[in-house]
Order: sequence, then structure tokens, then C-alpha cells
Amino acid sequence: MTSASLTELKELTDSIKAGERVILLPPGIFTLIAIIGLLITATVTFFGSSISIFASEVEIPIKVAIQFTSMGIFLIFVIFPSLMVFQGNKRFSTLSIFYSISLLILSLLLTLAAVTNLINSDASITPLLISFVSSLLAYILLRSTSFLLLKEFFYYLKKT
Amino acid sequence: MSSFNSALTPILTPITPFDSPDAKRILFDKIDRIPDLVNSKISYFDGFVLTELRPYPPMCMGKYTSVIIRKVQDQKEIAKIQNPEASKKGEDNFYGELLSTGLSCSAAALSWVVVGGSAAVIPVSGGASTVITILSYSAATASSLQCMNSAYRLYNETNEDGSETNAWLDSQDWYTRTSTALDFVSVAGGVASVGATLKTVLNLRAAGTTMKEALKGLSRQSRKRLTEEIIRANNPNISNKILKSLVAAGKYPKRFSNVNITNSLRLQLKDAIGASLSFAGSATGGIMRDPQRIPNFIIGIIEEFDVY
Repeated sequence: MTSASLTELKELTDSIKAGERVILLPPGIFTLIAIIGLLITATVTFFGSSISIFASEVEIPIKVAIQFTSMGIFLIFVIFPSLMVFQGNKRFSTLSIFYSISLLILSLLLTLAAVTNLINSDASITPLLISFVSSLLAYILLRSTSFLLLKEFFYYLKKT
Repeated sequence: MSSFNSALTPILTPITPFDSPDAKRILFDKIDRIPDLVNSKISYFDGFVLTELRPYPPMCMGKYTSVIIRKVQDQKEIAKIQNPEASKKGEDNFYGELLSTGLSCSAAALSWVVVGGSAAVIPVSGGASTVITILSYSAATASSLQCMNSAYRLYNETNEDGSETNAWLDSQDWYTRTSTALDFVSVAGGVASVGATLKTVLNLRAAGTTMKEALKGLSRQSRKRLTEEIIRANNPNISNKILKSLVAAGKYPKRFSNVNITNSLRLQLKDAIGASLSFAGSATGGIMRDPQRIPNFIIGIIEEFDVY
């Protein structure tokens, strides 16, 4: 992002603070929604297929416990940083970047292990591939200019 | 020895929902109102133990009828008993889960748009919408978790033994309660936004205009009238003199700009769409579909007869 666009962004947030303008859709909001959607898909398919591979024989309550633990992890690494971005704390988005990279690497490793028969599993590799692609796209969007603009917008807006 | 047994009896007796004398009396009265069930034996089955609530009266009767009450865990079980054929057709829940996932994820996406919009609009409203913002933060979090939960259910449906996992989840009290709580938070956000939209519509009506006209842009006089109506709505029983002095002191603007009004209305409309999606999501399987979430019972009637 260039310094000229940052100056323009600052002027925009100043006019909002002064009450001269109202922004309905903050810049980059759809990118954030896409990131959340992609990370939900990646999390569900990764943990779902991991249960099929490593915990297919365990009882239902344990499977459900793993699913709910993943929801807790998602809350900490995706929802909380997103809310913090709206509060102007842009540094928390690092948590989401770390989470997407972790999912990316783990799903890639599991896919490779399943393809090369390193793990004996009847589970389909399609969910793992979906998880890999979703987390890769989420990572690309997390590093995109659009998301950076969203972070800077709320940072300037909340800065006193 | 007898006193020891009588002391142990309340501990050994299984607890039923009809243990209290009042509950028993109401239940017996209801059953005895049905002529064929007068003087019947009434029992309660909790899934493990059969407890006799009322024995047969000590006299000879033409027929011996027993009423057995059993607690059911979920809506599916009731549907199976009430209409077994229809229940069989509904075994494949994939499309139901797909619809539920679509609705809850759309509601989540819209609630994030609303959170972003309301966070950017706070400086204009002077922080008055903080409560609504907190509600929208909670609603966005709750609907995101609901979206994820629906996604897991959909994933489970595609698995071989996944339907069992969903059925097990539906039979768990803690799961029903957690879903209800999430649904409640999501609906609370919806109610708040619908309330705000209604308030806006009432303000517009009081100012002698409609939402359609306001979105197109209002004249100076209409904007002034609307601004005064909004100040009156925020300060009930305010006199004209105080209103004018507050405007003169700069606490309130003389008139809102057209940009402010149209943009606020658009945000309200967007918010209302988000609320309607939350309600739709809740109506497909949440508290709006099943508001009481009270335990259900199945009542079975057995008539004894002699064979010669």
C-alpha cells in the first residue's frame, strides 16, 4: 500500500470522525467475510477428516469433543482477532495468519500421507484437499491489500 | 427394621417428574377425565426403571387398563411415533442440514457486514449505539459458531456413521441448551436491529415522510422536522424550549445532512435483512420453532384382558 493511499484513507477516517461522512461498507469487509468462510470450511474439513483417519474407532462423545474443541480454537484464532480488528487492534490478525499457515501445512502433510499410503485409512482425501485449498486461499486473502486496508481503516478510525 | 426400610424408600425410589402431590393430582385428574381410563394403573418409565405412580384400586373390575408415561429425548422420536411413514421419508437429513448451513452462514456473513458498518458509524451517533454494537458483536460470534456447527452437521451427514453422531448430539441436553443459547444471542441481535428499524420508521412517520422518500433525499424542512423527531424520541417529554436550547448549544445538529440520513437508513435496512435471516435460521431449528424446549412425554395405554 502506497503512502498516497494511506493519506487518502486517513482523510476518509478523519471525515468519518468529524461526522461528515458515514461508511456503510468499510473497505475490505467482504475480504474478511471470505476469510472467515474459508477458514470455517478448512477447519471443518480438516478436523472432520482427521477424526475419520485417527479416531474412526473411538466413541461418538469423543468425536464430538474433538469437533467442539476445534470450534474453541476457531473462536480464539479467527473470531477474536476479527473483532479486535474492528476495535483498531490490527496486530491480532497475526493469530489468524498463524492459524491458516498451520492448517495449510497440516492438511498438506495429511494429504501426502494419505496419497502415499503412509497412513492406513479408508477416508477420502477430498476433504483434506478442500481444507488445503481453503486455508491457502484464506492465507492469500489475509496477506492481501484489501485486508490490509480494512485493518488500517479501523486503526485510523479508532486512533484518538 | 421397618423404620430402616421406610427411611431408605425415598432414596431408592426413582425420581419422576410427577413426584410432588400437586403434579400427581393434576396428572390423575387429567387421566380420569377420559372415561375409559378411570381407575387405570398409572406408571412412569424413565428409560431404565418403571415406577408405579398409582396402582389399581382394590376392587374387581371388568377390564384392567394401564397407562405408561415415558419421557422422550428429541423431536425426531415424537415424529417417528406420531407419523412413522413420514418419519421414514425424512431419514435423509442432508438437504435439511444444507438449508440450515446456508441460512446460518448467510446470517453470519450479514452480521459481520453489520458489525463493520455499525463500528464505522459510531462517531456519528455519538456512541449511543454501543449496546447495539455489543449485541451485534455477540450476534456475529454466535452466528459464526452456529454456521460452523451446521457445517459440522452437514459434514457428518456425508459420512457413513455421521448421522449417528448428529442423532447423538440431538439427544444430548447440553447440546440442545448450547444451541438454544447461541440461537438466543443471535435472535437478540436480530430483535435489537428490528427494534432500531421500527424506531426509525416511527420517527420518519412522525416527521411526515416515508422510508422510500427518505432514501431518495429529503428537503431542508423535512430534514429539520425529522431531526427534531429523533431528538424527541431520544428525550421523551422534552419541551420545545429545551429542544431549541439544546440545538443552539450545539448538543444536537439543526438538521441532519441527506448523506447521513440515507446512509443510516441503508444500514438499518441491511441490519433488518440480517435480522430476518437470523429469524429464518432460528425458525428452521431453533427457539422460534420450539419455544418451550420443555421435556416431552409419550403416553402408552395397555389394556389387560383374560384369555380362556
